[in-house]
Amino acid sequence: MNNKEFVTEIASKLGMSTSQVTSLMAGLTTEMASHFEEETQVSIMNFGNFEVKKKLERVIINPSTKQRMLVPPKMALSFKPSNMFKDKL
Amino acid sequence: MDNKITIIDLAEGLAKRKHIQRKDAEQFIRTVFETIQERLLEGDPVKVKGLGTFKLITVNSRESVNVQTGERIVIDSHSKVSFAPEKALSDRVNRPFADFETVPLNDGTKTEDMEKIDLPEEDAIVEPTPEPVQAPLAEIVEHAPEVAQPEADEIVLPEPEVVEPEPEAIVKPISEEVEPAPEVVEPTPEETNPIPEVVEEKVLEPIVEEEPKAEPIEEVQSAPAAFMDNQNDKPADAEAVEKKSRNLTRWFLLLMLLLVAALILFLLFGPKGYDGEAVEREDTTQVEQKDTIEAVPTTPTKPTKSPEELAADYPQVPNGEYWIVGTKTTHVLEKGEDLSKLALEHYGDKKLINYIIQFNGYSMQKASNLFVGTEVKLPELVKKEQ
Repeated sequence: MNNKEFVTEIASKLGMSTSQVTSLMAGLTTEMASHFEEETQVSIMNFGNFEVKKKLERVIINPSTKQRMLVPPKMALSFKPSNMFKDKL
Repeated sequence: MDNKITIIDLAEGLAKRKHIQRKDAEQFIRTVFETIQERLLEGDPVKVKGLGTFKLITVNSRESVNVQTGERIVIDSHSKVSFAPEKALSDRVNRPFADFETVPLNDGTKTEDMEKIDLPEEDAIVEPTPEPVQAPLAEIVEHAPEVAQPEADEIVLPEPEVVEPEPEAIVKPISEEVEPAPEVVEPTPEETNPIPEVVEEKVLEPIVEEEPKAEPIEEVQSAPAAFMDNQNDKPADAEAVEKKSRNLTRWFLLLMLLLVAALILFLLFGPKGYDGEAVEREDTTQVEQKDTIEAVPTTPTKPTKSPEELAADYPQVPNGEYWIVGTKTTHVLEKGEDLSKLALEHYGDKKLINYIIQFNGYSMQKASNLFVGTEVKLPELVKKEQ
């Protein structure tokens, strides 16, 4: 399902116009992103946790060239579904 | 960092942003995630703009072993949710580290890793007899520069006979030690470095390189040269540092003793003024004090503090290879410098950036956003005994 279908579905559920929903979605995602930037964990009941995790730097070796590369540390957003959600699968 | 927020906090933020009722915002957020969940359960991947893609992935059934009982168990096939954040979002999250790039490592850059990799080979060479390590040295000191490839063969050959040339080779060159760089390529035995360790490394280097792919000679030769630089710098630094700290503690102790003596003398005789007896007493008490003073040094722990004890006063890197035992220097950041560069410059290893960060008490985020002109304290590191 792409974003457009997604938005229309929510709009019909809430009885709002798609443009309203789009604007709210944008608000929600920026709001969430701002929390992620502060490395705050965002937990959504019955859905799951969004968490920013630190990945350490590491050395990898390109198997074909045997070239060793240093991969820098980075922050990655991860999502872990809640148990409720998992049970439904 | 450890704080956690829920839908309610999100709703509040959203309500403020969009000037709507908090209740509505909450309702909206719930609906959004419910919808995602519903759609996922139908087996549809869901793409949410600004966030990312949620997808169901089926995991095939597989066998496993119960860790406690050792029984074989079958894990049924099931689905799991995967979430791939949008590029824009992951970039935003990763902004503190955005400047870092994956860099290819040259052979000379990472001494620690090199050592680790070399170790097994070293063992292999040492095995046959205890001496051969030195024997091949001498052999290679003479032959290596001429032809790189035969080395591998020659290392196997040399036995006790070759031991003779070795001492000369090693004694001579000590004065030339300082300029190891380009000359190494040339076949003069004096140039090839004197310090046994270094030569060992050098010996190992070419072997490791050549066995798999027999590379052009110059490359093989220059790599060890760069490598030797690091090797030379490091131990020397460490030694100097140790000496320094030993001297420092000695001086400190002396100063303490003088102060204590002065204080006691002052307390005893300062207020009284003096008469003949007092002078006599002074003599005797002075002797006594000397005794007591000499006893003193055993009690304060300062002079013989182990790195471990010293380290107690400073923030430490958990599970690190080194103790932080003091401040080495401070460094004012200039344009284009970052902590990993400092770590490389001062300790010869980028990885030790952790110690700098820890020592200065920076957060990860702060560490990567330091301003030009920031004064960074560089810790004194002592390797932990294993």
